[in-house]
Amino acid sequence: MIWIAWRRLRSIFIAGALAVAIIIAFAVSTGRTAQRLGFHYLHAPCHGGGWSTANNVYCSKLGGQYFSLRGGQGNFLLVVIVVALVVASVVGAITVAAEFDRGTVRWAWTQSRPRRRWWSESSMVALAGTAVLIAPLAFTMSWWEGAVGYGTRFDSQVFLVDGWILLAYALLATALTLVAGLLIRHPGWLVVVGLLAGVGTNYVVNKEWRTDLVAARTSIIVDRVVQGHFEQLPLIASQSDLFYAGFRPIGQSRNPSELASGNYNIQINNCSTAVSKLVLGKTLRQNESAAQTAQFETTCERRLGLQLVEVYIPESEFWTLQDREGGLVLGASALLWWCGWWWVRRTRA
Amino acid sequence: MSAAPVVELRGVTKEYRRKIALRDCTLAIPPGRVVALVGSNGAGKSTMLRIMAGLTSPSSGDVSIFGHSGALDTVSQLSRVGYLDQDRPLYRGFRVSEMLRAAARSNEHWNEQLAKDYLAQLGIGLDQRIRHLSGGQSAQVALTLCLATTPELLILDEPAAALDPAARQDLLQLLMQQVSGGNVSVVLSTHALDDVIAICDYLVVVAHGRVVVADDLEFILQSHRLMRATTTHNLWPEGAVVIEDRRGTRDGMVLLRMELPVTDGRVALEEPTLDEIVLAYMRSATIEEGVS
Repeated sequence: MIWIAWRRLRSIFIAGALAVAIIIAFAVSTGRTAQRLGFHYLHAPCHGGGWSTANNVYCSKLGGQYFSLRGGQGNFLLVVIVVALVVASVVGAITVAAEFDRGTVRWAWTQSRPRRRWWSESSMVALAGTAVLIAPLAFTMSWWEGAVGYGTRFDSQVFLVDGWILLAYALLATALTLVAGLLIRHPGWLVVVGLLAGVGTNYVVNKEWRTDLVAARTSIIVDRVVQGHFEQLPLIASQSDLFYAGFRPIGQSRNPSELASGNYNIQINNCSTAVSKLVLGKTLRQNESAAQTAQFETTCERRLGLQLVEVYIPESEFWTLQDREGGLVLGASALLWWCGWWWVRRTRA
Repeated sequence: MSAAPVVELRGVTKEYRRKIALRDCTLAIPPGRVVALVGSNGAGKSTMLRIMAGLTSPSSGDVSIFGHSGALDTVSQLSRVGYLDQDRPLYRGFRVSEMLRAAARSNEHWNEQLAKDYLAQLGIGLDQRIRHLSGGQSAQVALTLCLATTPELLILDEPAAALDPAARQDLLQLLMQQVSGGNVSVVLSTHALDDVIAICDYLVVVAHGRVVVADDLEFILQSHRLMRATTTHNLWPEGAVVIEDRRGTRDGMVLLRMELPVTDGRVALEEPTLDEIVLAYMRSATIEEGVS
């Protein structure tokens, strides 16, 4: 059955390998370019900004090229994730759903091999194939993100899908399409299901679970006036995974919902306006008096029992988060695989 | 003492969401026979064969294959049964040689030489792709794969359907070669009653999900008689059971099942053809179904 599964998936593996090779070639090419541009931009004569007028044309052009490349980071990453999930889903869908769709499962299940052996061997070939295809891609993307981001692993305060977590999500997509293939016996639909499930799981994990995977840090932001400018301190690192920034009741550890957060903002604004009228006899316009704005807002925070917080995971926890999230996703994949192993004897051809 | 049946269904019912495919079917297939499963489209033949092959389980009732109840799920059980689906599923991207390799790797008692000999006999090249084969050639490859697993029980779902006469002849010849070579039991569904006469020795008629006849083919032919009835009186010979009364129609015939030897010489009885017997059972089941 191993040979049959391999032979059935051979053309998919070749097409997938080709797609992965193209992405890797592009990533290596752009990554090396980004490294070169970044190095020249951050060193003399540009120094990452603040260059002399004599180097203005050169440094502006260099900076433009470098930041343009960095700006495309998110889009390229999205393409990579989609390609990885599609390849993984197609592998899973062809392995099981296509057998049902084309009726060949009625041949496979009437040979001298029990169904669970068919399931185990076919699914292992699919999962191993996905791993072989996606592992080099995940490895390359890890290097690429470091190269393009010049060492940072969070982009615009979002935890990037790189490292082996890309592989974990791809294996989840394969496991899911393998199991779902026992029920949804149409490969085309299943690829869509696998893709949506992969993206959906990542979204849910990102929104709901990450703060439970690694202890998120909370900074209480204090309104201050520095040299006449209103500032909120401390500023968290831009390379961090930011989950929440807003008001939260003092003593509450869970982040409020979007609705509650919006209500807190309204309460603070209303309160500040009321205090302003009471103290100054008028409503302060924005930036009219930074010191008084900060003072009124602080007063209102105390009065309403709220505090301004930012909840985030710092970049130093990147690999811990990777390992825990990846482990969770792999655990879910293993559970799905077992569900298929259990179910395959109970379903009909 | 008669030998234990190779296949036994006891009160088997199979329900799908909106349809009952089999209703309380009880059937015992003796060993070493070539059994024809006959019935109209949608009668439940394929469902019955898939249940026998372990591809689906009955909603209620019990199935035993070689005395083993429950699903076929061990190598030793599976290797005793060969199944040919009516769709002849083969991996379309494979070459014929790759299908043989796949079958060889999936079966305990695979006979490579037998498979190659059959294919050579049929003129099918090993390097041909499955997708480039004609419908008849695909059916022959599928049957060859099934035969070369050298099973003790062959379950064939309409093996000769949609084949041209020459391909059908080749296919039946292959089957007969296999059956004559050893102690193999065959259950095959078919619409071609000529094939039944040619190769089968046991007949099962299925109508509307029920087994209406299951017996030795020769016995069935001998125990049924047609009577041309001209009166409206029910003057049947002693021991005769009316299977179908068509006095109201143009042919005016009554099919009888004789449970006792006919001694009344005044009654004119004719030997029915297999078509007449099968059709009578199928029509009578339709009428009963309509009444019930």
